[in-house]
Amino acid sequence: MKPFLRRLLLFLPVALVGYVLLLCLFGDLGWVRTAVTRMGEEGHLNSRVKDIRHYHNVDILFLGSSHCYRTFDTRFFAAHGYTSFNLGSSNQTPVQTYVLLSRYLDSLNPKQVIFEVHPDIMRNDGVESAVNLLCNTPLTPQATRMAFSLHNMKVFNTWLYAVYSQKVCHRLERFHEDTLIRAYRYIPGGFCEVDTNEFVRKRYPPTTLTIAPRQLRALRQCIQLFRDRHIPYTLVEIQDAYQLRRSFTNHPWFEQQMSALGPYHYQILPMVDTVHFFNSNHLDKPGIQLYNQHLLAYLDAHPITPSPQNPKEP
Amino acid sequence: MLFNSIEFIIFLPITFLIYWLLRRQLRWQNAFVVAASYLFYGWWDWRFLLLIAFTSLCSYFSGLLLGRQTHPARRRWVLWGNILINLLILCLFKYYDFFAQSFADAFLHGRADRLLLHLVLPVGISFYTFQALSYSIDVYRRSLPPSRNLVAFLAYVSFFPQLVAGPIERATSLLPQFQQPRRFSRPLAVDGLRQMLWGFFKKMVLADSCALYVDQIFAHPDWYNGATLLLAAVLFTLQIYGDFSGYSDIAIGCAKLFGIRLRRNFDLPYFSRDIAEFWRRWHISLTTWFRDYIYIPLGGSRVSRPRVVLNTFVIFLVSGLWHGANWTFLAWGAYHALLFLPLILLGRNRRHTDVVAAGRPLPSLRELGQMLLTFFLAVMGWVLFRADSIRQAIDYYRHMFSHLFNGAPMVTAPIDAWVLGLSVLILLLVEWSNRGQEHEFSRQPRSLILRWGRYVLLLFMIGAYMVTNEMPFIYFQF
Repeated sequence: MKPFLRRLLLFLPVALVGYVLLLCLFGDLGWVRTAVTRMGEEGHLNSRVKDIRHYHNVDILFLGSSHCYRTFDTRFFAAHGYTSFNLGSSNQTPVQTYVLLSRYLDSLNPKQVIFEVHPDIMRNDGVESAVNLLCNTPLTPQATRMAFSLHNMKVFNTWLYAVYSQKVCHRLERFHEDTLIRAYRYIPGGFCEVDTNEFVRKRYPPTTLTIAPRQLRALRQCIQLFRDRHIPYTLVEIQDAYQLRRSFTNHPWFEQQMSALGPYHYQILPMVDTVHFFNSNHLDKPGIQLYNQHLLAYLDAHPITPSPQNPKEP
Repeated sequence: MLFNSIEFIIFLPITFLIYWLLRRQLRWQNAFVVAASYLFYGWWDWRFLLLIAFTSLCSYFSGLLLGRQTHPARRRWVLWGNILINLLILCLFKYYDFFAQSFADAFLHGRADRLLLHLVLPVGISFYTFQALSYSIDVYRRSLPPSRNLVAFLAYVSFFPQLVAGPIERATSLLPQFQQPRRFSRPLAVDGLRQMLWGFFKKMVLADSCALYVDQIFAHPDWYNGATLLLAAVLFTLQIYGDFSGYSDIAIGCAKLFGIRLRRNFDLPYFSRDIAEFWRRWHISLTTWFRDYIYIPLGGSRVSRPRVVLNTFVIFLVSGLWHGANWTFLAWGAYHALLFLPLILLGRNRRHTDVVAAGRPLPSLRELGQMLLTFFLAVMGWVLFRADSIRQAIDYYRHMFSHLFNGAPMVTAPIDAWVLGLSVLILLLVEWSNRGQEHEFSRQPRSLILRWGRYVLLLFMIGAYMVTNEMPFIYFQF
């Protein structure tokens, strides 16, 4: 028994070292695409976190998933007198939002936060977004904690590769992300613009919405960060195309859950799928224009309540 | 608890260490096996522990009664009583809703709301029920003395590595192992770890990668061309093999860590040269169970030709039904019966009992053709098995063959095609080179560096290319 255990204990570090070496080698060769998403992929998070250094004391901070960074056009809000930054990223769930907020909330020092919440994101495991975050933003102890809390091998591999890539090879600082990735163009301020409209009608099976407890916990933690800093926030849900929207069998339940967490805004606007949507859950240019006008009207109708505890407010 | 879960990674070493610390106290060691097995099973739903305990106790006490009784008629009553109780439980949980729905479809215009019970199917119920039944039948046949050691018997029924998806063990081989002290064997434990590693590769890399593609295609077969449907059918063939034989390898390897030997459940079935050979190599513990406890008592092949036909159909239909309460499984059984019948009627069902291409590195063209044909027939059968309904299966076949040459297969699912290709290649190479060995990953180089290199490479493949969502094993539902 003892020789067996001794040999096993000897094998484990050998296996670990071999594993890490193979991961770095295969990662560099691009042979582990399924395991390690590399820098500069869809979502422009890399450009966004480099861009964020130039933004302080913004009027609005937008947070959320691709619905967020593809919808809230910071140029539109600037034209109407609001400075803003869009910190959305691909599939960003509250678990990753919390990591980003812990890093950037104080330097951005926003007057208010628009937090985009989507039913698909609230039941998401957060793996894709974690991978994106680990590859494209500096590795911090908090990001490491987040990576380990997900208990997911893909995230763990990405974390390992990020340690090698950032701490050993210093690639993140040297990396320059293209402004145009596939059809998406990064606009300074965090928004991503897309010119095409390839809307294809799809059928979706009926789906009963759920909320992952981990995401709900993280969302509450994010809200606590706002409350600690007396920053007003609004949870906003952007409408989906008709077929996807109607596949959610219990959307009122979701609305109820979100409303319990604070100000929540969800309104179905008169949009036509083929005209206002790029795909089932993303708006195209006319849709973005329409939605941002609506949000602007909402913000104007709901000015930030002055609070004596909040030094940022007039 | 799933083998491919973090809980199991913690559970296994702790169980292993405590188990061997108790090696001098057999009774306590067996009691610990029962406790660990119940924890393993109860992790999923503790309420069903009562069911497994009840099944075990029924078989244990029926065994004691069978041991005491000498009167043949009374012995038969005891045996049938136990069989009836076990089958009633199995039918209630597994088949009641299916038959109630079929009855309602036939006579009540499908209105079955009041008839259905919507019971949750306890994981592995078919496996442990069959294992418990085999004990009673063997005691009845006097192939085995009744066990008076309740703890050892409970360990036999609930031994966690094979509790939820087999191999279905026989009391004659497993029970005696719990009745005598075990000694730790280093080569056996090392071989067990090796077999587990291979099982994890088959399940987590090969089967789960295939599943991503297969699930997408089978969800909407009418959206794809024939070549895509054929590819999905082939990938399901690999998925079910990787999934189930992977589970069996993990189970057998895990049992070896505890000094217990379980029977082989898969013996390279896709290298079979005809369907009869396929069934000698696929899910061996179940097919031999049916052979020994149903087919041979019915007369087997040593009866009149019409009875042979009947026996063959009975055995395959029961086997189909064992897999699940759906007409598709019955159709799958009937399909294999039709393929098997000509071989048995012509007396050619035992032509291929040896290892294919024994002593040669490659098969002959004839053998290759036979293997490909058998593989193709198996693929066609798996479509029935995978489909949700007979209607879907028919539509699938029709669409596949009518649009077969309508373009290349579409790869739209989130799979990395080369990872899948590499996994299949590794599977083929490793399994082909280990024909005739105890298991598919037995043969290893003598050099420590090469051996460990292979292990590390396989571990890397698992870690880097596994599908990261915990995917349950297909056979859990049976």
